[in-house]
Amino acid sequence: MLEVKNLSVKVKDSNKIILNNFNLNIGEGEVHVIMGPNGTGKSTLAKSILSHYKFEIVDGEILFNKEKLNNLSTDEVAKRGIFLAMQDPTEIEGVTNSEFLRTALGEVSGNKVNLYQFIKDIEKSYKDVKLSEDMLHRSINKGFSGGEKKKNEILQLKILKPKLIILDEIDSGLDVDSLKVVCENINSYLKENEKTSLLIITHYPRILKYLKPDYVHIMKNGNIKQTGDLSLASFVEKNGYDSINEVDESDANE
Amino acid sequence: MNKILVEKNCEKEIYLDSNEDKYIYVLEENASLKVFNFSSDQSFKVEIYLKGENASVEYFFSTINFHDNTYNIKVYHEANNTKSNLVNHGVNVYDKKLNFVVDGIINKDTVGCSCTQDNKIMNLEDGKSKIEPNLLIDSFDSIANHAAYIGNFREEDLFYLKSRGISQSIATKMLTRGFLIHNNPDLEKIGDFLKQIEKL
Repeated sequence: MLEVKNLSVKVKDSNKIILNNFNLNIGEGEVHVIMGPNGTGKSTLAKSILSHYKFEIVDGEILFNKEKLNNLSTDEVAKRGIFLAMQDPTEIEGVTNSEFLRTALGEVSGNKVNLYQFIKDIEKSYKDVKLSEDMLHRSINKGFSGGEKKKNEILQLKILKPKLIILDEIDSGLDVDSLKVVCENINSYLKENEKTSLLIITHYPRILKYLKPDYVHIMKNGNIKQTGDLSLASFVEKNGYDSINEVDESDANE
Repeated sequence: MNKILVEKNCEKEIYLDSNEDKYIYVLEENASLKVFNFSSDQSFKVEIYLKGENASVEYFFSTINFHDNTYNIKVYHEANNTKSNLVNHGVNVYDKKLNFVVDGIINKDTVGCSCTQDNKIMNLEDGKSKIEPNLLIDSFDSIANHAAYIGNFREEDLFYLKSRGISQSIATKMLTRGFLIHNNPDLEKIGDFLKQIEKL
């Protein structure tokens, strides 16, 4: 589904390389987690997949269902079915959640959105993520708490129905109850959409109590240093990232 | 020229789409006026005279600019306890000039006045926009402040909208609409203006 091959990414208008010959393969229906210390390039990877304006791919390629994404715009990548749940979703004054979601759904599906069906779907989704329906008529993320912003991200993915979900530190700033709600909704989405893949980016293994990964990758200094199963996350929690021995990159991601 | 008198103890709400080159508003004692001015591409001058005690005005102006235009808005506080709140938002579509000259004038002998203005212009291309916020305050017992911003829509906001599959042009329209349609106007009364945003 997603293949990242020898990817090197730098900050635009600078020579600072963030991702350095990075490789990752995510198959259909697989759940991967990338863990690593601050500033190691995890979020840069997520943003680079979505063609973020701050980053530039200097080498390598990103393929999604065999199609090269490198030169696609952000909206074109999203239309292919990739959804990035952001670490710190922006607040946009004057654009309501309702207008935003309905427009996005129309753009992604390529069809005119039936208002009645949209309202019905969205009312259910609001209940599922335990958000008040009046948020639908408020500006995007404006005045939302940290937890509400994260739930709003999950609500959006339920409406837009992506094929690949990237969660960029969705667990940061979430209390235990909100984390449960978020993870329950992701799990039920994955159950209903078995071919959908999930990439979790996190510092902490606590989210893995609720979302079970097939692969755990440890990332340091711009590429993956070690890959394993859930036991690798437990090892890191106990021993810290410094305990991870750097291995040859060709051993990783398989 | 269009001249409107708001008489003593009266409240008035006006929707304008700017066919005139000059507007004059005169407010008597305890009068209040709310103006929604949604227009595009036509320079004009506005003079607001707060002549009676406790008179107050809220002036909400939004414009879409395609050519060189200057908007000159002046509010004169000529009596005690008068209040003005001017909110002027413009979107400069091409590389033309869009100027806001906004004056708040408080007379020497008045007390308890409040004069605020919030002026913002978003350039969609390389527009030559200018804001001149002038607060000419000759009274010690008054509150006056202004905000002025010229720039572009935040890239982070555009990225967020686009990350959900919304194209650049539609995302820009959504941000433009959100920026220009402020302070809850009656949308049915500004249908033509909304259509102009859709055409961007």
